Amino acid sequence: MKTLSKIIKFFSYTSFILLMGIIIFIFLYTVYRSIGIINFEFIFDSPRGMVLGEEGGIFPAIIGSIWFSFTALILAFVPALCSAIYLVFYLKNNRVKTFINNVFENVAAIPSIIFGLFSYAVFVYMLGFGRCILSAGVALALMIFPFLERKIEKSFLEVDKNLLIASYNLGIDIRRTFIKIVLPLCFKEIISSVILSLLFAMGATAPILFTGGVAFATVPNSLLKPAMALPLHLYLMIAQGASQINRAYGVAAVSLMILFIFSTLAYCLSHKTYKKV
Amino acid sequence: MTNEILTISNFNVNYGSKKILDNINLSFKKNTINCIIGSSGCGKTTLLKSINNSIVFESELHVDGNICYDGKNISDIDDSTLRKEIAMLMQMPVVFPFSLYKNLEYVLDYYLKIDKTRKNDMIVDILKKVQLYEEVKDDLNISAEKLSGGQKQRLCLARALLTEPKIILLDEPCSALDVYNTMCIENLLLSLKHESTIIIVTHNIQEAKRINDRIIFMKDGKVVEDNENFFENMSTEEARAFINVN
Amino acid sequence: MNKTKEKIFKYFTKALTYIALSMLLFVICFIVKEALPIFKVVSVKEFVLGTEWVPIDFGFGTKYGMRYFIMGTLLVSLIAVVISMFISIGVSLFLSVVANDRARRNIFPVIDLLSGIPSVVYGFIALELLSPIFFSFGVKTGNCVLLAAIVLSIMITPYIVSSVTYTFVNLRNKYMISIKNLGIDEWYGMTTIILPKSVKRIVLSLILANCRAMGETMAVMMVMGNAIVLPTILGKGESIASLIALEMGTAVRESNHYYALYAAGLVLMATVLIINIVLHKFSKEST
Repeated sequence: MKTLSKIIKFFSYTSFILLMGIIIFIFLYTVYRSIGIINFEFIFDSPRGMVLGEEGGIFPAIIGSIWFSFTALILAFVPALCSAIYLVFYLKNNRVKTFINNVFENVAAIPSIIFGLFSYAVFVYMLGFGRCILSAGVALALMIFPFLERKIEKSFLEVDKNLLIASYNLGIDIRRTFIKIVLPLCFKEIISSVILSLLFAMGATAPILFTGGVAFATVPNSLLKPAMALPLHLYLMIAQGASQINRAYGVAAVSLMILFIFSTLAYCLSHKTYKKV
Repeated sequence: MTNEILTISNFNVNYGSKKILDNINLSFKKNTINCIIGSSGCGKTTLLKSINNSIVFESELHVDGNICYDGKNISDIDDSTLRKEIAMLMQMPVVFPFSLYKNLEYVLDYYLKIDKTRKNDMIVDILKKVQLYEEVKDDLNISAEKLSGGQKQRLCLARALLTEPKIILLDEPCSALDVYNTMCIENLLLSLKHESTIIIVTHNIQEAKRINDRIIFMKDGKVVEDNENFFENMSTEEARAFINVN
Repeated sequence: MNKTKEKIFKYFTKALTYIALSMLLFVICFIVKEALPIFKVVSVKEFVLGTEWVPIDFGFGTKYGMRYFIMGTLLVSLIAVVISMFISIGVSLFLSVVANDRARRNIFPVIDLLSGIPSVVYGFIALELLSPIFFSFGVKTGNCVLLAAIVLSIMITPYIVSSVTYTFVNLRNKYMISIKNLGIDEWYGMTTIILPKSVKRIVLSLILANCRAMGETMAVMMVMGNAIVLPTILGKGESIASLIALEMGTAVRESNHYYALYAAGLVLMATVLIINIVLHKFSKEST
């Protein structure tokens, strides 16, 4: 037993170093391979070349990704916020609450491509919107909703109940209590959750594959047109056999840098997030 | 000198700027029951935790001074060995998620390499010693978590005794127990003092009166009175005030 | 005045909650509805167990059998979980024993970065760096189930780590002081008391991670080989999600092919949902 515990101790140190190594490697290597590729032209130009992306830039893809994720956010944020408010502050019936929480939790596990399938049939065809940012945005919104709702709910639940009781005892209704007490306390966390949801939506390819993401489009100016997206652009470069691999690394590096910068921002905002453990 | 098993000199513990223990100077004779009393927050638990060096579990504390166990400075003794010889029992008994039998076997397996029959004998002996055997002998494989509070506390005591400690530290061991279990533990301590030195923190004045060989009264991190005949002859005002209130 | 504002607030939030709820349930029902037509053409048994997938009629008829895709999905996700299990538990042990509270709070975000990396980037890097290694070992084109499993295992690690670390830390807070007070080494205590007691929760986390892995599309699609054959560890295979992603673009709307793909989505969704529901019930009961 004593030797086993020594082995396990060694094993835990090694696993940790290995995992940290992998994380650092992924980021550093991608950036390293993209040196020389990322310049003003790369970021702000449109893609060109036989295989799209071999020359030119990725600007439409960057802007497209931003359009996709913000559409998703706008569609998902209000329901998520309201659900969190209703479930935490209003709904008393435990059975209904458990049921709703269960549905939200279980839907979180549904593969993102399924939401793509849904939006394809309903928004692209049945409602006639066709392949556009809106249709893709719906799929993405469905994907990020449970995640966002859960995070907002958690931050509401962390508010000291005594504060709420004190407010109610003064005769102040739930709406005012929420706006004046809860919201200011949770504001940073909510922003942090919003940022993380945006990142989540930005990295997703499957839901936008046949609902609004395309291989080539100009910088979007309308919700009702399709658009390019960063990860999709990367995928298509590879799938169509682009020979300028460094450019592909460039796209990947841009994605990773966006992830890194905004994750750090989200983490700094929510200094409380990891306090539980 | 040789009768002293533990000496604490110029001992200070700070939490930031707040003084938890202030210039403690104490020595403990072998085979005595020493009771530490005082109101909450006076530093009794911190003092206890300093003796077996378990205050390192709380990283924010700043420690300064000397504690000598058996002639050696405790900072020179390996923590594991120190805690083998200085046992600690806490207010809420924590039993391991095993059967009663395995809770004890677990400690034996860690320290000794002996065969099953000897192990079994040792376990039965220690259970008899803490007056638990008669109550549980029919089913030693019962999950320890199913025991009552008093039984759990006695189990924890038995577990600690398996390491043959020279000092036993107890932090309000009976405060969560009923009268019967409290008496049980007190009687055990009275008999155990012949083998070990006992230092017990208690807020139960009657209990202190019953079992003590010496009282240490603390207030605001300082030792206010250190008296072997405390209840017959209190020497400080604060001690009298404290006893009057309690 | 306040009273009406309060009422509006309450009913607005209530309405949106139920709208969201209905929308999510609607998604599930809709997938079922869109999948049903295929079962007029092929029986459920044949659909799930059939080994031939020929969605386009080249003159020999069409066949809709998902067995190889189901097997592919299961194989790749199970291997991924097994691989991830070791790393994740090891990292969790480190985070709960060696790292203090502050260190944990700073390390978790770093590990969570892994969960934010787009799936396509994972696939891309694996294709560039790991595929050639497999190729040099004799795997044709370098893409195989094992490679996809390796990539997947990294992707699901953050989820397992956060849940298992949480378990370890709670148990450690409960028992470690008593263990150390007996003079017992903390890794010994970790191995003999805390690890065994965590097994149930670890298994639960692994199964949930498995569901995540089953649903992953892009990375798997890029490195698994996508051949409709009996999947083997060093051979090629295709997951259900890859199938949908690859063929949806070319399936004629409301053709049998189209319905079949929705049915494939249904199989995937149903599997994941059922496992999740059962697991949550199970874990609620035992807490």
